[in-house]
Amino acid sequence: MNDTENDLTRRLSGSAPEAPDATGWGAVARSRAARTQRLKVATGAVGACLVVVGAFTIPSLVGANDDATPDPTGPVPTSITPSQTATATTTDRFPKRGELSLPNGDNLIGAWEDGEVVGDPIVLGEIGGHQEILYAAHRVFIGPKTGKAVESTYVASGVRDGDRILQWVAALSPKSVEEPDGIDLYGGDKLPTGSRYRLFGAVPGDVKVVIRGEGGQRPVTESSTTMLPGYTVFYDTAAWNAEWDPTKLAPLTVIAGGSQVEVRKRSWTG
Amino acid sequence: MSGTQPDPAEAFDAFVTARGPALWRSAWMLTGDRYRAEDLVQTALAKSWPKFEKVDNFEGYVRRVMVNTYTSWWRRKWNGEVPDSDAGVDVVVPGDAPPDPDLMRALAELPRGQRTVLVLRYFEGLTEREVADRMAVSVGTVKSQASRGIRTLRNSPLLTIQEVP
Repeated sequence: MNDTENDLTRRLSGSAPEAPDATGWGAVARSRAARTQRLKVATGAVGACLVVVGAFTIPSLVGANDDATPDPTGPVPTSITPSQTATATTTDRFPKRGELSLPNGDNLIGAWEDGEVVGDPIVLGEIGGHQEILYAAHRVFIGPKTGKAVESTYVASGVRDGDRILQWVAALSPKSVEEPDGIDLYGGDKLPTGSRYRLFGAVPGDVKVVIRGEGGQRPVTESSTTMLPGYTVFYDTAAWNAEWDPTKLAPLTVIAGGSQVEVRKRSWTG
Repeated sequence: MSGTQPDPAEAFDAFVTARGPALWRSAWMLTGDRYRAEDLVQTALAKSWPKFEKVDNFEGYVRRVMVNTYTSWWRRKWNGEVPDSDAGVDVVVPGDAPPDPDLMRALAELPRGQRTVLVLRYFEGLTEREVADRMAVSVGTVKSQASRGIRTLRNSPLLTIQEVP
């Protein structure tokens, strides 16, 4: 190494703050993986990975908020009647943590949706008698320090519980995509039980979306132009090829509206 | 001979308790935020647990999953909802002030790939080949990313990295 590299090494080595005690993290990780596996069975291999995100991400992020604490008993009622004009406003940076008990004793962990649902959801499957859905929502957050409104429109997955939704992950933010083609992707990783992948996406306009892999190309599993006005929202699920690297996303290409993007280069996972 | 096999769950928990803080520090260097760091570590551990008894270098496997997960989060200000515009967004600050905040701010302004390379190369002390394997890129990419990252840091008004004589 030269002097510049040595200086950088020295400064980086002394830069990380003291790490938290990791006691108990292992049990939580195992619990999270086990929950994912149980839900995969319950959903017939449809997308259990998203519960992992909800089970862990949301509590962590709620903890990052100034004044919010996890509140499993305080769900915010949310209409799932499609609405394109009403807007929910909140001062909470992140949705409140929520839990939903299933008849078999499992608990789904996520966040109670406090945005206003827009358009028609896609039904992905069923978990313990609850519909699993992909839906679009609009949310306005008032910054407690700035007092300014921050709008976000997102496509999330979750489960219906009466007139409310337990959100697992806000997967797509189509209106914030910076790439010229406007294609937004989430997922495409190997589900924990190893047999399938699931991919969500949104593309501007009313377009046909196809997936290209080693075996040629085919239409995505389902798409909708009525979920989020101005966008084609889709999801795709298929078998995971045993020869694919399980630490990477599926080596697939999404083709839509004259554009094409590789899942590995564009998608993200939680 | 007792013939008693160590319980995998207990062995995994012991591994996490022992190595969790080191994993967290690497995650913190990548994310610059204690909550995202913990989320990143936990996500990687949950994804890796099924492989605990199947891979020889489990920590290396976890770290690879962690880097790939981090890379996949690159477009998100947090791993979920993103504002349609940045107007009025509160600045996210780490929960603990780092000892070298100027360096962390300068590092945070680097493109995600350059930051990842610098953290792996100069914080974790990996060789260029090891960084390339961890990130699943070529050695040439590691070299170019490191070179660009150092050049950017050197020119950053936030800090002064010693010049090579």
